[in-house]
Amino acid sequence: MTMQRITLTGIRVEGPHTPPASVDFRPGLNVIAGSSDTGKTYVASTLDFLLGRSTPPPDNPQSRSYTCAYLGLRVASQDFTISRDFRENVANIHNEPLAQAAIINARHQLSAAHRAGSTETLSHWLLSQIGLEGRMLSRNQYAEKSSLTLRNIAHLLYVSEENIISRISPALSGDTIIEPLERSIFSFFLTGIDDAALTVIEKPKDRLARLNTEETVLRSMLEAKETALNKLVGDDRDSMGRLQKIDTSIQEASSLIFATREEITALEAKRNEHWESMQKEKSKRLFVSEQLKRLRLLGKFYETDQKRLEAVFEAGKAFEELPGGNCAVCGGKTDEDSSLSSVAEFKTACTRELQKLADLTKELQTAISDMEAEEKDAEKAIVDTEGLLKQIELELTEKLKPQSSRADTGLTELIKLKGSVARAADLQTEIEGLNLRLTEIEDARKAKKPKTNPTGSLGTAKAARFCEVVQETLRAWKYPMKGHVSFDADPQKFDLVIGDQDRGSMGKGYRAITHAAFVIGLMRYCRQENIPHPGFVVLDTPLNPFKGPDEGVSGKVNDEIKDAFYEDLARDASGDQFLILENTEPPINIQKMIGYHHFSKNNDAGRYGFFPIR
Amino acid sequence: MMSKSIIECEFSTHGIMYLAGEWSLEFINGLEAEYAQSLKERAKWVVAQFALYSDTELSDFMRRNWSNWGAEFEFESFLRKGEI
Repeated sequence: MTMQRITLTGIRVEGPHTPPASVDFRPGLNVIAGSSDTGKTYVASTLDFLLGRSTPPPDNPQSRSYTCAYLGLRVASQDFTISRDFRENVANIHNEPLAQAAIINARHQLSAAHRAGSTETLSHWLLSQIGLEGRMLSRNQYAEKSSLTLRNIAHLLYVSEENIISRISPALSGDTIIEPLERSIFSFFLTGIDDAALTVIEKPKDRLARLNTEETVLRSMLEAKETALNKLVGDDRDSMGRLQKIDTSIQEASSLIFATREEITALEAKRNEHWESMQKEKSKRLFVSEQLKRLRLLGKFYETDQKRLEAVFEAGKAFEELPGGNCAVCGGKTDEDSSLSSVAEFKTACTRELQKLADLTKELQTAISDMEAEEKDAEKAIVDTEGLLKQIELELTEKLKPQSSRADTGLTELIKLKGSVARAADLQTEIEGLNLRLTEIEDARKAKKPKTNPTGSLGTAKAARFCEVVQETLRAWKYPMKGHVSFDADPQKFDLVIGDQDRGSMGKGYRAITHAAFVIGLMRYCRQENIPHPGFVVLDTPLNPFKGPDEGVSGKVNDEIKDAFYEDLARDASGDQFLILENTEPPINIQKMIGYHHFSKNNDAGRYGFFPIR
Repeated sequence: MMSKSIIECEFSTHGIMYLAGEWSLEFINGLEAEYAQSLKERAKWVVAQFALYSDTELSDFMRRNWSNWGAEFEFESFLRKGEI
């Protein structure tokens, strides 16, 4: 960030039918010396007005005819002029030097008063010239923040004749409402860090209301959860223990189901085996019985054959005993002998055939008996297997399947139970959480003081450094000092301690000069520390009240301090600007080095006053 | 058939035997119906297979192979479930 500072180039007031009044300033020290009623304070007051004060400078007979004022300033080698009508709350920015600026030509109009959030204000325009715009500063102990405005730092730039002798710290304007903010501002100038990062702390009233609301909500949630928990488990609150037991039971039930299913599978395999072998036996029985049918039929054939043979044989025998006859065809005699021999052969053949039949029948009987035995065996095997199958079926349907389905049902119920107990455990955890939060709320409510963040907490090292700068300044002014300069950060004081003495408790003259040392020291400190600062201070009569330690005895010490004061400021080549309004004139040698205006109140010597004589 | 000498019958100590007659060959050769043709095929096969068997040998053969014939009925009960 480029550190820009403002140099005031002069001030002018105008009005109709009146010659304008003006005074020029230069970088470094400017002194306007003159007695009362010469318009010194009017100059400072007009300057303050041009920097955004809401009220115009106090009316006096000489100023009455002026209607507007101009303040010339230079930032980064560029000239601007601020103009403002005494009756209006707007300010104009002219991009030209004081001498050329005319309010009637104003193009750039801004609100003279700060408006939160608006950039179209004089305050924002000026602060943004020097890199101070948009700084967020705590305005109370709860870290609620405001953005920095020009008016907030006016008391560090312009110290009026009344304020310079005030017992209030130079860091504060005296307005108690904005005092916390002013402490934040001073802290900002010391550290260069604003409070944007601070977390807002709620106010006790808001906090109590929030705690109450939260408690009400929590209590109703708690009640709902308690009701739900009661419905689930009644008074039994050992949900974790129950959950463990249920898990064990589930494991047992699962392994029982598994074992039963294995058993069922094995039995079913066995049943299939038996059934298959039974089918084989049945096939065999069927075959055997079919065969038997055929064999029996064959036996009947054999029987019939045998009977027929017997009948043929009988017929053959009878035929033989009949007397010989004629042939039925030719009527000749039949051949008895040949017939006889063939009958004998026939008888032998028949006997042989009968024998064969008897053999076959016997063999057949054996075969049938074998088959019948086989049939009986098959029958028995079938009956046995059927018995086994029935037994297996019984085992399956009466024992294993019910056992399996009982275990299934048991497991389902266990799982259901587990669900509800787990829900109960969750509810208990939630209830514990709610109760814990309620206890916290109770504790929070009992806690007397909520944590706050006092504004203007200064970095100790930074404050010490600032005190050093003030001390150097006071030493340069040959200020009679015993001990060191320090800063009392107690919010009640928030001021310098010089030697062992609180600045506020010193005499009027000391307060004035140390006030000057404070604001000048702060400007010098900011320059050294590279912290933004407008770069000018306006001090109304910082030396006049000073009478020194041997007040009334000798004026020498006084003069020595006053000379040193002017000498120090006149020789300050930093570029910072000091505008001093004094009753008495600075030393002659100094006058030549500085911007010097003497309002003599004398028509013959120098300038009479700020206003031209009419 | 006997009267037309297609078959001849012989009575002996072996029992009643039937033999091919004078006209048997010509008669059989004259049959052309499909059934008769395949019957001739089978007869030839039987002759080829068993011509040299004695009666006792034939009986033994039959006895030995009798039980094998049941194999085709295995699992018949599956097919005839409804009837068992």
